[in-house]
Amino acid sequence: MKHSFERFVKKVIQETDCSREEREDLFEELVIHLECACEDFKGNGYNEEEAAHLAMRNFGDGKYVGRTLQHAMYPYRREMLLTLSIGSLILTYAIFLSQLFVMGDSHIGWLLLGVLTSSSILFLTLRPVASLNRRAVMNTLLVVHGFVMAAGMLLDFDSPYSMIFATLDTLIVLLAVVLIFRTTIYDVPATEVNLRTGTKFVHYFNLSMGILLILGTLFFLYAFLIFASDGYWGLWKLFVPLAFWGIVYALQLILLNHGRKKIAYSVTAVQFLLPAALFVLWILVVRGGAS
Amino acid sequence: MKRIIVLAIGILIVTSVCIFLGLTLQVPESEKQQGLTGIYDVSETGDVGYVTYEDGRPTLYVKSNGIKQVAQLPPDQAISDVIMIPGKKKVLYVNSDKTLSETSKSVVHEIDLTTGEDEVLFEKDAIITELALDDAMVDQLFYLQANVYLNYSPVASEYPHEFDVHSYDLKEKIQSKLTNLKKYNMASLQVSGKEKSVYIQMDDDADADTAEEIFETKQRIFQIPLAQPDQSKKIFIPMDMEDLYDFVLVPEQSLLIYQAVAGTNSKGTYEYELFSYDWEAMDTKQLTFQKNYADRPLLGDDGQLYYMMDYNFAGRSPEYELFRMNLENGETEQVQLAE
Repeated sequence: MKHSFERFVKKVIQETDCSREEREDLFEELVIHLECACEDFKGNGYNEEEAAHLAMRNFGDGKYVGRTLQHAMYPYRREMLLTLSIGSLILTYAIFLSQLFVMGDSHIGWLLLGVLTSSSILFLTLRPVASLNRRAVMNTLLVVHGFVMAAGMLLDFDSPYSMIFATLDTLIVLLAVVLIFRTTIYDVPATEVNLRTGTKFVHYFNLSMGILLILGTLFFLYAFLIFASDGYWGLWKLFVPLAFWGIVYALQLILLNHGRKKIAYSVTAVQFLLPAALFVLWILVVRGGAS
Repeated sequence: MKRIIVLAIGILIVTSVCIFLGLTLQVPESEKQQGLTGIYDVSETGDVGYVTYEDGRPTLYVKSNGIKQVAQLPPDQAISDVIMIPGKKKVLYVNSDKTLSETSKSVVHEIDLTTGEDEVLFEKDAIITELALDDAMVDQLFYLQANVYLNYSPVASEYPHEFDVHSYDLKEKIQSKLTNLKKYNMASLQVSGKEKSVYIQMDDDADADTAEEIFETKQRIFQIPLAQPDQSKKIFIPMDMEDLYDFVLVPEQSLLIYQAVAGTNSKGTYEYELFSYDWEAMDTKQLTFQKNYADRPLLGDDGQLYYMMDYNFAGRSPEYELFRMNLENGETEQVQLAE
C-alpha cells in the first residue's frame, strides 16, 4: 500500500519545480495525508485495497494536483515557459524560412540550435524529469536559449521583415531574461538566507552585471568578426571577465550561506570593475593581434 | 505521454522539412549579387560601359544607341574595372576571382565593340584593381596592381596590399612597373597625357613612423611624373581637409573633384558627397546633396560630371544609379542604364 502511495505522490511532485528538500518535505506530507485518508476509509469498513484506492481517487488526478500545486507555488511559471518555448519554436522556423526565401541564406546550424533549446524547454515544462536538478538545468537552458535567439537578430538585418522579427525576437529574449531572474530570485526555497533583502540584491546586481558582461563580450566578438576574416586564438582573453564574474558570484553565495554578509556585500564592488576590465582586455587583444 | 510523442514527431518533421528546403533552395554566396555595380566608364562620344551582376555573373554592357551585352563571366569572377578606349570602338576590362585569395590572378581583356571579339591582353598572378588610359597617350594602359592579399593583423580583413602603378604598351604588348612603393593602399588611378603624369590617391605616410602616426595618416592625392616615377609630389589641398577618397583631377581647370564625408544620417551612417576644390581660387564647393553615397566621379568629354550614387550604402547589397551633372549650373539628371 505504501508503495502505491509513493508512486502516486511521485507523479504529483514530478509536476512541480520544487528543490530537493522541498520535494522531500512535500513527498512526506502527501504520503502521510494519503495514509490518514486510507485509515479513515478503513475505519468506515473498507478493506485495505479499497481504502487505498479511494484515498488516491479522492485526492484527485495526480498530474492535475501536481500542476495546481506548481501554479500555487510558482504562479504562471509553467505558462511563461510554454509561451517562451512555443513562441521561440515558431519564431525560429519563421526567421529561418524568411532568410531562405527572401535572402537565399540557409542558417541550418542556428535552426538546429533554436529548435533544440526551444523544444528542450517545452518538453521539460510539459514532462518534468524528477531526477534532474530542474532549476539549474532550466536556468542553463534559458541562458543558452537567450543567446541563440539573440544571435537570430544578427542573422536578419536586411530582409524586409527584419523589424518585425527583431521586435518579436527581443520579446522572446526579454522573456528568457525575466525567467532567469525569476528562477534565481523568487522561485527558490524559502530559507532564511534566500528571503533576505540583501541576498535578493546580490542576485539582482550579479545577474544584471552578468547580462551586461555577456552583451559586452558578444559585442566585441561581433566587432572582431566583422573586421577580421580569420579566427584569432587570443580572443579567449575576452571571456576572462565573464569567468571571473561567475567565480565571484558563486563566492558571494557561499559567503552568504556561511553568514558572512559584510564580506559578501563588499565583494560586490569587484563586479563593478569587470566591464572596465573587459574593455582593457579588448584593447590589449586588438593591439596584441595587430602587432 | 502520447501527446508529447506526437508533438516531438511534429517538431522533427517540420525541422526536417526546413533542413531539406535549406539544402535545396539556398543560393550560393557567389550567385546572390544582382544589379548595377559602381564600375563604369564614359567614352568621348558619351557611350557608357558599365557592369551589372545577373545571378552573380558579372556582365559588361555598353550603352550607345541601344544597350548591348558585350561580356559575361562565371559567378566566381568579378570585373574590377572598365575603360572605354578613346577614339576606338573598343572596351578594356579586368577580371579577378570574386573571392580573392593569395593565388588569385587578374586577366585584362579587350573587346572590339564592332565584332564583339573578346581578346585576352595579358594575365597577372596578382590582383589588378584599376585601369586607366588617357586620350593623349592612348597606347599606354596604366593599372594598379597589388602583389599580396593578406590581413596584416588578425583584427583586419584580408585585403590587397603592396600596391604599385604598372603600365602596358597596347601596341608593343610590353608590361612595365612604374613605381616601387609597395603601398598599403592605392586607388583612383588617373592619367594625364598632357602632364605626362599619373595621379593616385594613397596614404600620406612618408613621415609616419610610429603606430599612432600611421593611424593618423590621411589619404591624399599624389602626382607621379612618368619620367621620374620615384619623385612623387603631393597635390596641394587645404590643411584642414579631412580624408578624401575617390577623385577626378582636371589640371587644365585647376580643379579637383573629390569624394568626402559630408555628415551622418539618423542611423549614424556616413553620407558621402562630391566636392570641388579650385586650387587657383582656393575655393571649395559641395556639388552633390543626395545624402547617400556619391562615388566614382568622372569628367566626361562633354564637360559633364558623371558619378554613381549608392542608395543602400553600408547595406547588404548596393543600389547604384548613374547621374550626370552640368558643372556650370549644377543641373543633375539620372542616366538610364536599362531599356
